Amino acid sequence: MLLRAVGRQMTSVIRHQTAVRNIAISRVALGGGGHHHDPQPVYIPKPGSLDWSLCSSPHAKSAHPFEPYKPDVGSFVGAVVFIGLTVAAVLLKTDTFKKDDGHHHHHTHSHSKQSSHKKEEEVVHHEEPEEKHEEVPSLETRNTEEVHAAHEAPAAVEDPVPSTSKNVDKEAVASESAETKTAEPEDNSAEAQEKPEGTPAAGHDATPSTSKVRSYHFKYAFKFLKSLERKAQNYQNLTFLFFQTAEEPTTSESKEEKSPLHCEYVIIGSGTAAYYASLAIRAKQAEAKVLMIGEETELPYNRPPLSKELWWYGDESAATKLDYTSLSGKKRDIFYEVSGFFVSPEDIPKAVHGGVSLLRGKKAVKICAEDKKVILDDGTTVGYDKVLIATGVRPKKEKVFEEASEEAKERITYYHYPKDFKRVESGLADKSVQKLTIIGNGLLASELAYSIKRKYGDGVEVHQVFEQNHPAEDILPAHLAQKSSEAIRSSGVDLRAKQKVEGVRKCCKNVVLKLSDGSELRTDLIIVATGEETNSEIIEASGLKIDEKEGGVKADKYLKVTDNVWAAGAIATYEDSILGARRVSSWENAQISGRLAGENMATAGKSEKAFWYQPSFFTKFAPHLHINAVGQCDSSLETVTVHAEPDPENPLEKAVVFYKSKTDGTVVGVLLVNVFGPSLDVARRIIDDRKRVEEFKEIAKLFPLYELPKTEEETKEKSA
Amino acid sequence: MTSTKDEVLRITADEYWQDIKDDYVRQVIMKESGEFYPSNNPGPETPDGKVNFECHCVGHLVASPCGYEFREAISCQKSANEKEIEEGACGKELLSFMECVTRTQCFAAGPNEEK
Repeated sequence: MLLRAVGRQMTSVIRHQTAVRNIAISRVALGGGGHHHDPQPVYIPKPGSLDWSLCSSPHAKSAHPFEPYKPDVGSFVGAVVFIGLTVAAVLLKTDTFKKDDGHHHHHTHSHSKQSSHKKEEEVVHHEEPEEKHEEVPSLETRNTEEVHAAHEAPAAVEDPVPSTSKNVDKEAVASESAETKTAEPEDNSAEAQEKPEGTPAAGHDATPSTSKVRSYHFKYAFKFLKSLERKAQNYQNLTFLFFQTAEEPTTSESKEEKSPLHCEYVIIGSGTAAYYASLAIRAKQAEAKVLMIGEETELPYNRPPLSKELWWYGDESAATKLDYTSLSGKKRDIFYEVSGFFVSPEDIPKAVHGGVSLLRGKKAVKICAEDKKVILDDGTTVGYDKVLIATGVRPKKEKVFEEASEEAKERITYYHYPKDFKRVESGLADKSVQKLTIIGNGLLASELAYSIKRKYGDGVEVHQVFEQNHPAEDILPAHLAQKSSEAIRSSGVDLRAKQKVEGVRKCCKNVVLKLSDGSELRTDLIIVATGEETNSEIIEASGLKIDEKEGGVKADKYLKVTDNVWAAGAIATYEDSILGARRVSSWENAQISGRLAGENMATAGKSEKAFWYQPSFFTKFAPHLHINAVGQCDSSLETVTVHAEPDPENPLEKAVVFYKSKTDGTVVGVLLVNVFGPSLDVARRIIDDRKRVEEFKEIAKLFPLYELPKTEEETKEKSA
Repeated sequence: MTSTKDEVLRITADEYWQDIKDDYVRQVIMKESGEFYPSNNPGPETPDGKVNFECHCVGHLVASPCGYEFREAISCQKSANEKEIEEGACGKELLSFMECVTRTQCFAAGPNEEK
C-alpha cells in the first residue's frame, strides 16, 4: 500500500507527461463531451475516418498508426490546460469511480489506517498479542485469522511444507534472537529497503522472546510506528488526490492518477471461462496481470451446483452461504476463490508479480480492437494488450411471462444466478412456496424439477410444463426421452407435456397459469427455464462477427476472434476440427475453452494450440439416471443405442448412445446412461478417430456395460 | 415408438464378453486405462523433472497474488535435497510465500468476507 505513495512520488515526473497524454486521448476517445454517458465527437468525421463510435481517435491513429496513445504532445498543450480543468470539474461532480468512490473515502481512510495498524500489529506481534488489545480490539480476530491462514497455507502446498516447517520455525527463532525483524511484508522493493528484511510473524507468535529482546522490540517498534505514521499521512494525502475528493484541489498529480486503467490481459466476463482463462494465463506467464470485468456482483462461481449439488447436499446454510457438503464430506461453496485472491483493480498496475484482478458489477459495452481498449457502461475505458470475450449467456425471456401483470411477476423468476437459487430455496424452506411450476424441458428445467423434488419430497408440489413431448428430447433419442419422462413422473414430478402457457395471472396468494389444453395450474412460484441467449451486445457493438447459425462470436480453432481478441465459453463459436463450428453452453466447455484461450493469449505468436479436447457434460434429472455425454449429442441425428440387459439387482439400466454424423455416418457424439469409468475418454477417442462404425455391439464392448465377472477376468485380459 | 433413425440394440452379458473381432475396438482396448485419450491436464512435473506450473493441480496457487512466491518456494524445494532442506534451505522462500498468503488472505475467507 505504502509503496504506492513512494512509487508515485518517484515516478511522478515521468508519468506526468504520460498522464497528460492519456487524459488528452481519453478525452478525445470519449468524444470530448466531458460527459461519460453521452459521448459526442468534437469534430466532424471525414467519411470513413470515424464511425461515430466511442472507438478510435483518428488524429492519433493517422499520426501513429501503431501507437494511437502517443500523439504529438505539443499539439495538445493548449488543450491540456482546459481539458484538465474540465476533467477536474467533471470528476468533482460525477462519480468516475462509480460506487467505489463513496466507498473510497472510507476505504482510503481505513486502508491507510489498516495498513499502519497492521504493521503495528505485526511489530508488536513478536512480543505478546495482549499488548495491542486496548489499542486495536479488532486485531485479535484478525490475528487469529492470519495465524489460521498461515497454518492453512502449507496444506495448500501439500507435501513440500511438512518437510520444511520444522526449519521454518528454527529459522524464525534464530532470526528473531539475532536481530529484530519487522513483519512488514516485503511488500515491494522501495518499501522493503527501508526496513529490515521481512520475516513474517504470523504463524509463530508462540515463539518465546526474552524481556531484553522485548524491550528492544518496543524501542524499535516505537520508532518504526513513527515513521509509519508519517508515511501513512503522506499516503493518505496522495490517495485523496488519487480519488479526487472535493477537499483537494486538482493538481497535476491527480491527473496522472486519472490515467485510464490498463491491463495487459483483460477478460470480459467473470464466469467459469473467464476464471479458468485467468488461471491459464498466470500458469503460462508467472507475473501476468489479468483484469476480469464482470457484470455480476458475485465473485466468480461454479454454476452447475445451482441446479444440482446445492439441492442435493446443501443444508440450512445453502441459501445464505451457497455451500454444500461434497461427497468427500467436505463443506464447500460454489465460489472458485475468496475475495482476497483478487487483487484490487487500483493495485493491479503496481502488482510487482502480477495477479488476477476483478472489477465487479461493471458491464463492458464495446471493444475497440484497433485502439486496444474496452469501454464500460459507465463510460470508463480500460486498455488492454490482449482481451478475452467470455460474456456467456443469460436466461431467454419469455413473452407470456414478460407481459404478466406486475403482481404476477413477483411470483415469476428466471433461473441462472445465485440469487435465483437463494430465492427459490428460501421460499421452499420457509414454506411460502409449496407449489412450484417449472417451465421448460431442457436440462436446467429438468434438473431443477428433479433436484427440488429430491430435497423437499412431499413437502412441495412440483410441476414441469413444456411444449415439447419429453424432457431433454433435443438430446436424448426418442425412446430414452420417453423412458426419462416415465422416470420423472414416478419420482413424483407432475409433467405437463405439450402444453403452451397461454397466460399468467395473479390470484389471491398465488399465480395461475393457463395452459393450452384449457386447464389451469395454481402455483406459488414459477421458474422459467426455457433456454438461454448469448450476451452478444458487445459483439455487435464492437463490429465483431456473430455466427449466424450458432449465435456466438465467431472464433477460429485457436479461439481467436481478431487481432488481440479471443473468445471462450458459451459466447464463443469456434472451429472444431472434427465437429465444425460449435458453440457449447456447458461448464466443461467453459473450463476447457477458457483454459485454452488463456494459454493461447499468453503464447500468442509462438505456440497456439487448436481446440482439441472435447468437453463433456453431466446431468441427472431422474433417480438412477446419470447421464454423461461428449461430442455432438443432438437427437436430430441418427442414433444407435446399445443397452445392457436390465439388471434385477440394480435399477440402473446401462446404455450407450452413439450419434452419427449426417454427412458421413461417423460417430460424432456419445451419451452414456449410468455408464462410468474411463468411458468419456473412450468416447473422445472414437470421435477423434472419426470412426464409421458398422458393428455397434462390438464398439459397445469398449464401455463397461457389464461388471467384470471375476472368473472371466483372466480370459478377458488374454483375449485383449 | 422407435423411429427408424434411432436404432436400439440390446447386448447380453454373453455377447458382451465374447472375443472382440473388430480390429479398431481391439486396438483401442489394448491401451491401458487412462490412455484412451490424452488428458488436457499436464502432470505435476515437466519432462526434465521440474515443477510443471501448468498442472491444473497448482492452477489456483500460481494464479493467486502469491503465485510468484509459490513458484519460488516450490522450485527451491524441488531442487534442494533433503539435507539442504534440513539445513534450512528454501526457508526464506517458503516464509515469503506464507507471508504473502497471510497478508493477502488469498486462500482463506477473511473476517469481513463478503460474497
